[in-house]
Amino acid sequence: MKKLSVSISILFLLLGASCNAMAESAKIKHLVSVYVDADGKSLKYPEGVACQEDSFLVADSENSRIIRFSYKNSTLTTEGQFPLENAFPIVVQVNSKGEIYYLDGKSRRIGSLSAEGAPKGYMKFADLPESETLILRSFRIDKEDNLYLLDIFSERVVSVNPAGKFIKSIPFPENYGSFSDLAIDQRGKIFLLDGINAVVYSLNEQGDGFSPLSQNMKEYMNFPTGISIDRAGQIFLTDQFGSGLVLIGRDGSFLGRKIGMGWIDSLLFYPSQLCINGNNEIFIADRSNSRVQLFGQAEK
Amino acid sequence: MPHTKYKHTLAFLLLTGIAVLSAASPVRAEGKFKLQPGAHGKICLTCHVEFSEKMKKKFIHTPLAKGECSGCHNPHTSSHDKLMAAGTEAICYQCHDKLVPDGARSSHKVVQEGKCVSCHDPHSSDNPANLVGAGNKLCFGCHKEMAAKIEKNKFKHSPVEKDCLGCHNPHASADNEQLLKTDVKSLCLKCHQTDKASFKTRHLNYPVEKSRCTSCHDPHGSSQGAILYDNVHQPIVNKMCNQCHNDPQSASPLALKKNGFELCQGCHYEMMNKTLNKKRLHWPLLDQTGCINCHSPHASAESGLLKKPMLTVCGSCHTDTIARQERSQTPHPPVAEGECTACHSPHASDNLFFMNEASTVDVCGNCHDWQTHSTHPIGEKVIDPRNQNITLSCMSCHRSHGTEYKHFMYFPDTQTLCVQCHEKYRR
Repeated sequence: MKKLSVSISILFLLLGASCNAMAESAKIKHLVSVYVDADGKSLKYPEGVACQEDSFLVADSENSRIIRFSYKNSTLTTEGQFPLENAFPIVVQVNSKGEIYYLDGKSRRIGSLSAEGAPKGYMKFADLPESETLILRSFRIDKEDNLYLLDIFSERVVSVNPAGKFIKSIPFPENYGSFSDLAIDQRGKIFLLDGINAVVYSLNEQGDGFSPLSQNMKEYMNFPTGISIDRAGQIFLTDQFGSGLVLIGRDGSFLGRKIGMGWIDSLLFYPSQLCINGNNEIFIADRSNSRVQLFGQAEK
Repeated sequence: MPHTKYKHTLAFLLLTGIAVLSAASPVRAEGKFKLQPGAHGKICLTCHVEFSEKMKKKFIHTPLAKGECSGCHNPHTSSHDKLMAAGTEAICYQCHDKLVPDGARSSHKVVQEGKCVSCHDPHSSDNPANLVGAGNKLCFGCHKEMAAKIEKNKFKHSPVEKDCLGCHNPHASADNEQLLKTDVKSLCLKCHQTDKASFKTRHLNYPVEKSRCTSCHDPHGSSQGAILYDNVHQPIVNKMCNQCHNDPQSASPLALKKNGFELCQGCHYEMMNKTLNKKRLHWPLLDQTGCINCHSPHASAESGLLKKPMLTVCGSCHTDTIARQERSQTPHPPVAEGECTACHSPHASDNLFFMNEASTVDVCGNCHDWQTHSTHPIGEKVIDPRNQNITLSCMSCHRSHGTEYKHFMYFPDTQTLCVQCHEKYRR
């Protein structure tokens, strides 16, 4: 019995390692660029993008709206567009029920819409300590629909349930530069991105603090602002000032840069949020190109 | 028999001794360059007669005094100027190897660069330590801006008038910034007595002796009373420290009443309200450190109470942008001169890149008359052929903080730039 469990453990380890190796050698291929909605209205400086298996949401920041697109069998369709009154959406997320959440850059509050796009107002948080000093820079939603808030004023990541009830607060690590984004992997582990120092932090084993996963990677990138993690655990960053995509291994090692700076399809110009769905498709809010671009990952 | 044995041993020792001595003597006599005995440097002076003047100076570098020119120079050939035996960055360290402690907190730039001769004459001088100049005059040879400021100051700080080396180490400081001999507080307290009633009264009974004096006072003197930095925050001018700090009698008198921007908002509410209503916020403003990420809360040598010159403040986070400008073949004056606010609003903006104006053409137009620069159509009505969602602006061809190419173009030459859009002319 003991021998069998040891063998299974080794098998899993080998499988894990090979999956990681496959992901790390992935080639990024441009699939489609999204410029307009169904009415032909252009996107303008979109900063946010959220994705599911066959659809994605765009925070069309300068147009104060959220747009939902479907992407099935290489066909792109606009499913709906949801204007936001007096808001400037900079981060967008979607939960398992299809409900939409966005961070309003102007009020630094999280607004929500029903799955059909009906406004549900701004979120209120219950039992949240120091709620009066909550300054949100970004947020994410996990598989259980809990929200994780990147609170830069009180230097913490706060988790709340879908109703906004406080669950947990995890303090920022010491000596960080400035956190610009966070990500949650398939196992619910939280990662933070320090844009100034180009360092990725991950939640420690006790789940009560963060420690550096990577070294200072400033020599490889300019100013990363977006982070997302694929199913294999590989970390992707958008290097906003360097206009590119950066690949980081699960162990925090720098694996390389993909996609260069430019204006034609497949190139990026000051990108912001990114998202990776279960099909390993990468969605990037190509902000200063006023479009969203989709990329596929093909094994070498 | 025993006598014969002793004789053999004695002979063996004698022969070995002679062999060792005969092997060692030529080495001592000839040295590395097999010079004639006593000719290590004296022989050099037969041609280099001008050294007779140098030898008359008060302080002579030890190797020269000993006549060991070959300690630093190779008499035959060298890959280095003046027949130096090694590069200037290495030669002095061959003897003076302990000038910079391991892991020093700060070190003098000229020392890092091995430019010892910027301050020292390698042969002789009338100044101690073979310095090429005496006292502060030597330091001011490079630190010209500091010298001008010290000269102009209405209120002088007497140690500065005497000698820079009163507070600074000339080579490196193991534990302190700015080459300081000890930490700031200890340096100041050497002269200033904090237990005097006048000291306490002047500081409104706040226990400032536990603080860093240079957060308010300019150690090099200033034109403000009490050598405060030239730009003083109004609450300090009004002697109203308790606008931000707890009362001096409280348990933690130096603690702040609020954190981050919330504290500053009390007075700067108009600016903060305006800022917080913008679409794009400079996030450091809203973190726990807030305004003092960039500003000094008490006093500053910089206008706008910036902590340091603007280029340094902005460059402390935007290192990549500053580095790009430094690499750029064409410098962009506002960036090179640290005038970041010529184009950007540092707190918040409704515009992309925190620009001062919505259109980059208008921002650039503040300095550049683009219609005389180029007849190329740009503006809100001109679609970029590479991307249907963006219009042509100055930034379509130029990267304002510089590129590795001339005129901060994205591409190495004009032809390559133009064919990005005008594809039919691609060769």
